[in-house]
Amino acid sequence: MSWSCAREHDGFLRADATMGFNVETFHSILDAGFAEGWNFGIVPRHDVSSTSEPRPYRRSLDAAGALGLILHYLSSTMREVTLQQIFAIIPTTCSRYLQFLLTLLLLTLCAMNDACISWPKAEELPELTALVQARHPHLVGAFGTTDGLNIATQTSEDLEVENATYNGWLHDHNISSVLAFSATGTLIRIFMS
Amino acid sequence: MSSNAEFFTYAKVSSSVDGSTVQVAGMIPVSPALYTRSYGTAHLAGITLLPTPPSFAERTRLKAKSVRPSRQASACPQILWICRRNYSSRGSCCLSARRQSGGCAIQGSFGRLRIPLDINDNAGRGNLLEVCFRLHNLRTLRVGFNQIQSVYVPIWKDGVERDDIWDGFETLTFVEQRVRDRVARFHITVQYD
Repeated sequence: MSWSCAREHDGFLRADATMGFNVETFHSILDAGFAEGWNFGIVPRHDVSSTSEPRPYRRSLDAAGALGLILHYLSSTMREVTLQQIFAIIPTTCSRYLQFLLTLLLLTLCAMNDACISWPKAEELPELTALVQARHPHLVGAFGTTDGLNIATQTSEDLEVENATYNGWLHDHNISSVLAFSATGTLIRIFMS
Repeated sequence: MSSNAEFFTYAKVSSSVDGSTVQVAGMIPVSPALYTRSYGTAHLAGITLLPTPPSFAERTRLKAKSVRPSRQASACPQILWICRRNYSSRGSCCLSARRQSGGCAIQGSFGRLRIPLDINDNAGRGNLLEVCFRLHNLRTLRVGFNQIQSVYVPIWKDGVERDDIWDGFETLTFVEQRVRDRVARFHITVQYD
């Protein structure tokens, strides 16, 4: 079933499972600037000037389809060929769209309050510590947790980079990040390497 | 999202009230807010895999001092590290606190992070990670931390038949099987006074 069929027939019911967002949140991302960026932005191409006029009506996907494409891409490990079949687009279009959409989605999320990563203010701490203590009475005063995230990466040909990314504990090449979560589950601080 | 060396804190070892060893080990990046603002006893909780014999603890403390004798860092041990190997009551509850919102929440939701990232594209890698982190926050606030409850349970409870299965499923548990057997009422049971 292609993306357009799924969208028409079951009202995004599958979207929850495949993209991780409900319909309301999906539309809120579109309204927060994603649709505007898609309709009035230029998908970069080598043979087209960056100052030329955008032609969204000539594209294979509308704004909702574009958001669906990038969310499918992020939420799954599927190959691009599968994405091409679901969204009925050709390989070059697919890779070009994905590259552009990742930047567009990042810009949209930066403008959304709920998507920001901010350290809690002092007045929010009593509420957070109460949440932790309700479930874990021994953890007095904790307002969040910190955790590491090791993400597999390719092996670099540069020996210095290769050495820097090799993790002896995991016997693999990883990019490590340190994350701090608040008691509500949101990220409050990240450190990426 | 900027980060620099000022965000690092240092190793510190101390004992907690209930006797379990609490360890702050290694250099980890935290928010400068922990240094500059007064949070009282509030702290982040984390798990460390490092062992806690006194020799190691002493070594860690000495190493931290020798690397950078920072008055600020030693005066601000606002991250509570608990050794996983101790499995004290405090450690195990911290472990479970972290499991609810940890790195797995990110990599589990965004399957794309399970595919080795491009080591030669630093900007693209950073964008991909930041988009995933921000989407995690957005979903936690809009959709809910537990998507099984908010997304799947309404589908499982849709309709009378499904509702019956949902509510009556607990009667099918192994322990209750003999009691709820259709012929169980014909059994003769001996009761001793």
